[in-house]
Amino acid sequence: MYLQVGAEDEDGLIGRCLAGDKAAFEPLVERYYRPLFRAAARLLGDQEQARDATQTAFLKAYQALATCDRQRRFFSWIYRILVNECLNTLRARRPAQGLDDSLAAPRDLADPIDVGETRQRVRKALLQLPPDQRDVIVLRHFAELRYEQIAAVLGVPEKTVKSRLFSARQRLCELLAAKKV
Amino acid sequence: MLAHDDFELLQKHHDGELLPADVARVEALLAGSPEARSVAAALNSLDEGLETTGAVEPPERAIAEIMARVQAMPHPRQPGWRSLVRNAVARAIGSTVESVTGQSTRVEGSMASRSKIVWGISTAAVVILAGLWMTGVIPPEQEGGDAAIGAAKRYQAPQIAGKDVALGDTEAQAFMQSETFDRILKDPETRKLLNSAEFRQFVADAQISAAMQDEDFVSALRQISGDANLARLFSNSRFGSALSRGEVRAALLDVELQNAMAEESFEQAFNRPEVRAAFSDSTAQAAFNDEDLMLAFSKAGIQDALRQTAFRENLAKGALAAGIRGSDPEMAGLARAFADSNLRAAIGRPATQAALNSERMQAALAQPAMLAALRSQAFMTALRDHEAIAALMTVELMDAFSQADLLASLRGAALSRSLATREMTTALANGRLSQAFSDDALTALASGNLRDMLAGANFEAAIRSGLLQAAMRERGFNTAVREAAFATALSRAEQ
Repeated sequence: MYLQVGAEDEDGLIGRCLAGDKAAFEPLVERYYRPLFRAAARLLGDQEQARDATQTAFLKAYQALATCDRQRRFFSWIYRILVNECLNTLRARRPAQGLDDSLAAPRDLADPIDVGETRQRVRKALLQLPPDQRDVIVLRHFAELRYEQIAAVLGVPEKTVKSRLFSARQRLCELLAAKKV
Repeated sequence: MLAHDDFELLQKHHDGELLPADVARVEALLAGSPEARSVAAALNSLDEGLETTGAVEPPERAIAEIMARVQAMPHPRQPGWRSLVRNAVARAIGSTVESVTGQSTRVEGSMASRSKIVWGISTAAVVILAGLWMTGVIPPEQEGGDAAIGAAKRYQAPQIAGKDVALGDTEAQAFMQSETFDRILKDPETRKLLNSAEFRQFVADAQISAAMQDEDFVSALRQISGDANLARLFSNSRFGSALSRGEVRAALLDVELQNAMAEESFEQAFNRPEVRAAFSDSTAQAAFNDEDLMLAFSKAGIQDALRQTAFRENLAKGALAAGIRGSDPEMAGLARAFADSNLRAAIGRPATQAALNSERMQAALAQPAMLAALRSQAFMTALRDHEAIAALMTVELMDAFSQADLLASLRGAALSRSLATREMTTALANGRLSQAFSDDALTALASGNLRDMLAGANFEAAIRSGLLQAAMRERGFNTAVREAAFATALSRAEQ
């Protein structure tokens, strides 16, 4: 698994960055780029935009490193920055192409042609979930984290992760059954 | 119905998190329960929707590109006193509230994110108290001591830059001698907070001590400590109680909401003197002290509304603020409107929250005329009715609300009274009638005679008629309605 839960040296790396050692940021990028990129790619349905969003998230994080709460996981913080970046990207699509269209037609994922109706509807339903429910779905399905890792990222007990996954899936099923998406 | 435990078991099985000991249980469940099989199928179906086939692999050189950009960037700025204090406050609030209330705090994401809410509410409270504590006015509880407050113990205040934070100006001194300050000191919740280990740890934090050296911080401390209105707000135990509620804390800690609040438009709005003045208004503060209102603001619909860019932009433009404290003295009544329990109840309803998400409603809210309508006591009374709310929130009526004349008519007691009746609200819920209301010809509602007529029982009966509703959508009808003679005739018929 690519995300190390026990990343005890994060605080030290951030400290070195703040002291002026830019190279200390690289291990953080290497550690978290992949799960963040995957989450962005699945959220946005567009690898190029996912690449931009992930890069922007890292650069924003670097600029604002001083505001990072070092008692908490760096991933929790940058994940929030990334999700906001993705949501901004989705909103920005609206005037030109409409959110529905952009979600319905991911442009360059591995199988752009075989995107079924269910998949399109589930992706739209996902955006209708409350943030705490959407987070667990994104982290479980898109970033492919285990319960334990999601709990560490969100700073909640594993039991809460399971409960939110339950609620999120139930809500997704309701939305899909009611054909609200 | 599948038990929650069984669903959780299926979920763990689906997510590959099943313990070996549970495998047999899942197999038995799937074999014996059609519902379990159906749930398993639904989970697989969701997976199909959520998963994309094929791997999504990071692009090559992506990390190198990021590092190249980082190398070209300036070093990250060292934290200023605001971020130092904000981080410490975020931690302190979480643990302190937990220790005071005995409830666990839901802390998700980065509490250190740009939280204007936490900064605006929690920091002010903590900083006031911390400032007073550090200046020795409120001494810390000593180990083994009885937490008594007395001048003799003032010297025990720890590592403060006394000369920097001494509240030497007369305004702050006067505040300390005020009844408000006395109430703060005597409030049991405040005492509990000040005596908690977490609070003392917060104040003793080296970063906070460093912040004390910052002139801006000292200046801010003086300003906040000298603000009697703010102090009054925080001295209210109901406000503290509201803050300790899980729903409210969860709302305040919602990172997306915090980010929304951190946007420039919000900051601009709160930098406007009239907005600040509005928040200092004693009536507005009474409203914000209300636990029900705080809970209403913690609801998802309200938060979603706050996240709407258009809403924030309207706030930043100042139209709402101007409405609250603008040149029209009547508008000051909006604060009283917010204090009205009916409005608070209305805000808590899903239909209202959904409506607040509408750009149309947000645009309407930005108009002084709408604010004036909200001020009307009779309109408040109308809001008691769920159906009235549902009717008022239809798209067509929202469009109608953008007309100043219609809003003027809503201020009239007679029309508002009629809105409160069951018959009228039932009629208003009719989509065709709502559409009719959106016609600009309906500005005739501003006529005094017509308002009186609308309050009559016969009119309420008539308006439920499909024929009348159809007629109202005709232009000829609307022209006729505008004639004074028409209204007079209707009034006679009423009698």
